[in-house]
Amino acid sequence: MNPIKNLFMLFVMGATAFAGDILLNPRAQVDFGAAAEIEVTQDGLLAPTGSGLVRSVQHTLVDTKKRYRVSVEYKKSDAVAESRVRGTVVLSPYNMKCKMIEGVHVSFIEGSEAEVLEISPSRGKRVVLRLTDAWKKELESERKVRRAVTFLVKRDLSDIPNFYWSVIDGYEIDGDRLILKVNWTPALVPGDLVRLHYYGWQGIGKDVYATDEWQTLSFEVTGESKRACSDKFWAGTQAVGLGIGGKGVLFRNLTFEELD
Amino acid sequence: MRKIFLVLVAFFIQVALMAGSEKSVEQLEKELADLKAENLALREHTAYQYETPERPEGQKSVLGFKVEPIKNIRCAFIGCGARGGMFLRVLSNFPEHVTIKAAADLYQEKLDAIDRELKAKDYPYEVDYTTDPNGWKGICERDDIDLIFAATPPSLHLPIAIYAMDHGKHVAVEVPIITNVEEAWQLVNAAERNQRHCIMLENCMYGDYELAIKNMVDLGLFGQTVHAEAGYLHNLEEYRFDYSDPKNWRSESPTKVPKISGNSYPTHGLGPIAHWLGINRGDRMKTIVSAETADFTMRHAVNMLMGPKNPIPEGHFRPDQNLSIITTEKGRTIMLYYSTVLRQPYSRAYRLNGTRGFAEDHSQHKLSKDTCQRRLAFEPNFHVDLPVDKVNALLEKYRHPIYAKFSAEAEKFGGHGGMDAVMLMRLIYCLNNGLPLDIDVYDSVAWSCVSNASLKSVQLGGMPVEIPDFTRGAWKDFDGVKYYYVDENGETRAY
Repeated sequence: MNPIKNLFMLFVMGATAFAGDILLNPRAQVDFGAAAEIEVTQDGLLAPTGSGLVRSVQHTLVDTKKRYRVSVEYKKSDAVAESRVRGTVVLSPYNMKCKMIEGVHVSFIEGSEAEVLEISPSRGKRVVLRLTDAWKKELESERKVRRAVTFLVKRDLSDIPNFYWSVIDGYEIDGDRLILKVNWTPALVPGDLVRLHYYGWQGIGKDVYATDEWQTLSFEVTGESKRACSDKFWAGTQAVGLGIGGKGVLFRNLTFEELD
Repeated sequence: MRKIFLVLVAFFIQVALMAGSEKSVEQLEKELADLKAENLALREHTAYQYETPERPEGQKSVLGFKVEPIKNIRCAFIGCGARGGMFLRVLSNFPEHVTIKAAADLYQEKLDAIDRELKAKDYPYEVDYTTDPNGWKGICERDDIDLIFAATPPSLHLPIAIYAMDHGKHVAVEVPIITNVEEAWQLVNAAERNQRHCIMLENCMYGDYELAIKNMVDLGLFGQTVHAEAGYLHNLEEYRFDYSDPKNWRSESPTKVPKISGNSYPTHGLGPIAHWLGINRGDRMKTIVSAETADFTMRHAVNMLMGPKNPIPEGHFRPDQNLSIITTEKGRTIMLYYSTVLRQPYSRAYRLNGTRGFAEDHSQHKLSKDTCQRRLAFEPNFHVDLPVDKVNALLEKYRHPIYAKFSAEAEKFGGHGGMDAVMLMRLIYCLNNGLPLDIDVYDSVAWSCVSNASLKSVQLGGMPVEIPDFTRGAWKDFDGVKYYYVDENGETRAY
């Protein structure tokens, strides 16, 4: 065997020794579901074709105390005229009941717990709150986010991830009363607490900017966070799947591995 | 004191009863053995079994069978009515692949019409015609014919097929190819004995939808297939009440006793789903149970159309519907619907459940895509129907390469939405290239024998009937139904 080949083999063996156990490695159409908006070429290139994320069907249980790594290579498709295209790579977290923990469940305005003043019937569309500074400040800010209200909340954040939420379609301020127009409410009683949440996270991950050259994204995730972030598992995470998005971005070698 | 006395009496009675009911280990073991024996005896009577004959010496399986390429296939057509005449007309457009040598039919006017059409298009070969009722034998005996199409009434399918194969011909036979299990074994033996192709011309195998689903199954998009349904739901009132055409053999009269039909026309629905499930290549149909309704709708229809004073409505007609459930050797299930009576739109009522997805189709081929009642759902969102545009987009994306290859012929020659043309082109392609045929004799008889097996089950009050293993165990050596093709390098490959 020639010496270069020997050296290469040593390198591969060394790299393998340091690699963790690969827990997820979606690489076929069925790995995302037959109807998923993604094209998978025969040589394993993953090309999302829709505007949203495509998520792996396969999940894997995780121990949030351990360290894990997400890796992927990406570039822009030759068919794209722009010099760079934005893509997204995430871990999608799932709770004990296999329910996906979405960004809105764990993205909240600190200290925005507010008291319900008027009873709202179940599936009602109006909630009256005592207006707090946190709400006032956020509603008056020019941040371009879609806001949501979560119900049945606890001041110690033990309700996070909170799945009882509704998009805020509009609001009125009447003195110290805040009247929210929402899509849905559970049955509320005066004194119940609600909290201000917002959209913004599609999963535990990062955006990438793909160019003509292949680049590598690799990030570690360990520990647990009540708040959405990109380096910790979100509160309640029991399992994760992989997700990618970005029309015009090509991905390959998408993996999730255990490091510890 | 009295209470204590009563309690003591009750205690002693209970002890006495317990002592009386106590059984020794020997007694229990004997009871268990008796129960087992009784169970075994019962099992012998819980399924009707057909006799499975040993393979005669010198015969060998034709599963995966192929012959040397026949670059120009010399064909004869026995029965030139709606089906046979259509086959002949389509294949007359491909003289470089097919030579039409002979055509037989009882009615001269049908042959005259064909002759006129062939002459009008300057068909390059001479065709022999016969109206002799036994003329088909002479055709089978000729030594200048490779393939014989039989599109006669069903009672002639078996004699023509066997006689043709015994005289060295490959045969392509209209549905159903046989009418009972005994005939099925005769046909299997003839194909094995002569090592000839014997294909039943089940056109529904080649529908765009059916092939697309097969492609998606083969690609693993449905995961492991678990359950499939299909049917032949085709209200035939317009045939039944057209007594003006004496040549229409579909006409039928009422009887004096209630009719039992079984699923007498199973292959249009069963064929495609059998290939989705890999029946006869990796799994096999094991048992069938069948039940059916009385004759509600025909009785009503006859009353409405002929009036209550007409004697005909006093008779009995075929049942409204037959339902059959088949279990496979590997534990999957098939549900078959059959009705030529129920008043509803035509449907082959497909349904497929796999571990990764679901498909359902109640559309009919004449409808446009916009009105299709087709459903698809896949993991992870399997609880949500895909929208119509997505369903159509996926069916187009996964269009089977076979349909894509012959879509121009499907468009040009049509025939049940193009499936007839694709079926014929595919048969010719396989023979031209020396490939195994998509449908073999085992498929043909297994699908067709369901008519007899379902009837038997109905007659026995829904008792399970064992479906014979016509491959005699060879199904275990395969892993799914493959459709073969030759790639650009001349290599044989399979979809």
